[in-house]
Amino acid sequence: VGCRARHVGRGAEVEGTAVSASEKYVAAAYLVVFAFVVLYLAIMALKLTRLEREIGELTELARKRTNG
Amino acid sequence: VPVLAGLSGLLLSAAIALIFFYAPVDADQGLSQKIFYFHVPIALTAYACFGWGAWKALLVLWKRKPGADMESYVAIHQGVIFGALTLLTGSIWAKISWGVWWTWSERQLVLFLVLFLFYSAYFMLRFSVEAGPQRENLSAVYALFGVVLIPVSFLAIRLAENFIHPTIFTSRGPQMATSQFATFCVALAAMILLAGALYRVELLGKRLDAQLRELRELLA
Repeated sequence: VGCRARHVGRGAEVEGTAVSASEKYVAAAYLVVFAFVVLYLAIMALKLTRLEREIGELTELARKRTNG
Repeated sequence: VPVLAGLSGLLLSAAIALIFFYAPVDADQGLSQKIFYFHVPIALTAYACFGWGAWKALLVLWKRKPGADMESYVAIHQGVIFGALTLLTGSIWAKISWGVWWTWSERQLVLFLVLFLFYSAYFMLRFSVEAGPQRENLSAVYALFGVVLIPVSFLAIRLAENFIHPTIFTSRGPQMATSQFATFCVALAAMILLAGALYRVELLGKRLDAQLRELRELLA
């Protein structure tokens, strides 16, 4: 199988402990990806909020100009 | 954007379900091999983003296409995000498989880091120059230079003589079970769609920002 990496210093671990460690690392890897996506969406949401506020300000400015 | 985002969400959910409930646990690596289904698609998506950024950079220099500079910038930004994720997920996988977070003796790893740092420096160059044609030209040339590193990074593992980083896609096809390959394909499609959705959202935000700036100047 191509996805075989050489195991370094893990062979002596008890099977139960190794599975538990694997679970932790797999969860960590997936959580990292999830956290990145959430962080990215949060940044985008903040940006959208700022853009919405700016549009409001410009609309107000344009309204004042129109009303003289 | 909503269609892309919806599709990517759907495919990501399907990929996670396939990874944990359909794909078999690898006989050699055990559960840690499950990282492969996200790590490799993320890396391939990073390459695709850098490639897309370089293509848009070429359009800037060749056709002077309006908006291509912004598209190139956003694509490279996405590439750097996916590149960072590749390094992070790869490090976690390396820790459990090889016992170390990082190894400098692996050409594949070092070349990917070089590619990542090269494109990270793109932002320093871009924001050190005033907005205008000069910035567009410099950024485009830099983005095009970086694209040379993609095939080098991708082929590095195949050129390496003594490696511990696994090779899955060889000249004899994918070295994994059909169920594993199907799961990988779904995860790859999900990642590419996710990158596409994020790219569109970021591009939309940047264009809106530019239009608002122009409007503010007109109203001032």
